[in-house]
Amino acid sequence: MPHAAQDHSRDPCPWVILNDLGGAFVMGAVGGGIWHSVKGAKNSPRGERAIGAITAMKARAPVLGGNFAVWGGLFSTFDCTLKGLRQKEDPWNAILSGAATGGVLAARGGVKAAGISAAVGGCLLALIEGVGIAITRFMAESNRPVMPQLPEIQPPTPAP
Amino acid sequence: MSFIPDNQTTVTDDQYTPQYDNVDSAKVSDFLNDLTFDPVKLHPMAVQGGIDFLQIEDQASTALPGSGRSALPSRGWSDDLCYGTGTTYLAGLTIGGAWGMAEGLRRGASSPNLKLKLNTFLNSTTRRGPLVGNSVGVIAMMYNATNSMVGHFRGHHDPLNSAVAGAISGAIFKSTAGIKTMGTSAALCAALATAWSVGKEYVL
Repeated sequence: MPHAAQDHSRDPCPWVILNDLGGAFVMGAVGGGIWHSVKGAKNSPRGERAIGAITAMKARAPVLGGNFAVWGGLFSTFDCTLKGLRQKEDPWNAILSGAATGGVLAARGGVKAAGISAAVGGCLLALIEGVGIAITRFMAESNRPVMPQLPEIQPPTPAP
Repeated sequence: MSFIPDNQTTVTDDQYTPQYDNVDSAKVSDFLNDLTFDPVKLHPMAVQGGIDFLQIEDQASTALPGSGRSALPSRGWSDDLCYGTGTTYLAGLTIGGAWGMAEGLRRGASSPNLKLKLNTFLNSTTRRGPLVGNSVGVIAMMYNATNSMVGHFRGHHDPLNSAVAGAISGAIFKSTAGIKTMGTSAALCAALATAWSVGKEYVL
């Protein structure tokens, strides 16, 4: 019998912040490593491409990993906080968390910069959540339950 | 009805008294003992071998022996990678941030007004913190990846895996700084990794 609709792949809320932080760091560092090593190789003179790639990667990839990690950790913290406050799990948590993260990360530039960053973050997450919902609806179409065939029931004959 | 005998035409008060203490009356235990519970009739799903309730065990921690349970939940190599890297990055960020904060307070003590002080303070914190955090995070990421790979090839986890993985990641981290630095870094990271994996069993 299949499980109830509980997703066991994500850990409960306090621990999932660490998980998301680490995951985001790895994505940023690995992705940044590939990106910057290619960029470093391209921007180096012939014969120095390999060392140029490694130098660029060493300089920039950890920074990118750190940026991603901070973004991911803040996002997850806000997400968990909203879930605890609202006692609901729905896309709004993610959208508001994205906005809050964008705002906090740009807070040092003043209210206007923070506001723009928050709006961009919120829209980006609304886009991601919207795509997620569309995919879920699309997948659900193929899993429609089939109505079982009931036998024909004769209406009761009236008593004479 | 045995209240009134057949040959009696009138009824006295005694005979109308309800005979609740009569041993012949039915008791609950009489019909309860006769019941047999047929599971098929109770629930149709019982025929198929019963209902499997929520199976939490199939998502339990890694199947590799010796992996042990600790305070950080772990269901496999990806969990180890994410939690290990995340925790180490956060710890590095905090320690580096504290170092930078101390440095910033010292430097900013000579500034005339509050805004400059605050700016110096923030600059120092955000310079040291991420630097330490990033470096430590990269080492932790490499350590966790190599640890899982070595464990997979060897078939089980033990502190030797951690030592080897620590040595490899320490060496790679300083690989552009020369052989001697690589060796020092490898030894240091191997020692730290072994201490962590042994201490983890006792502390967490």
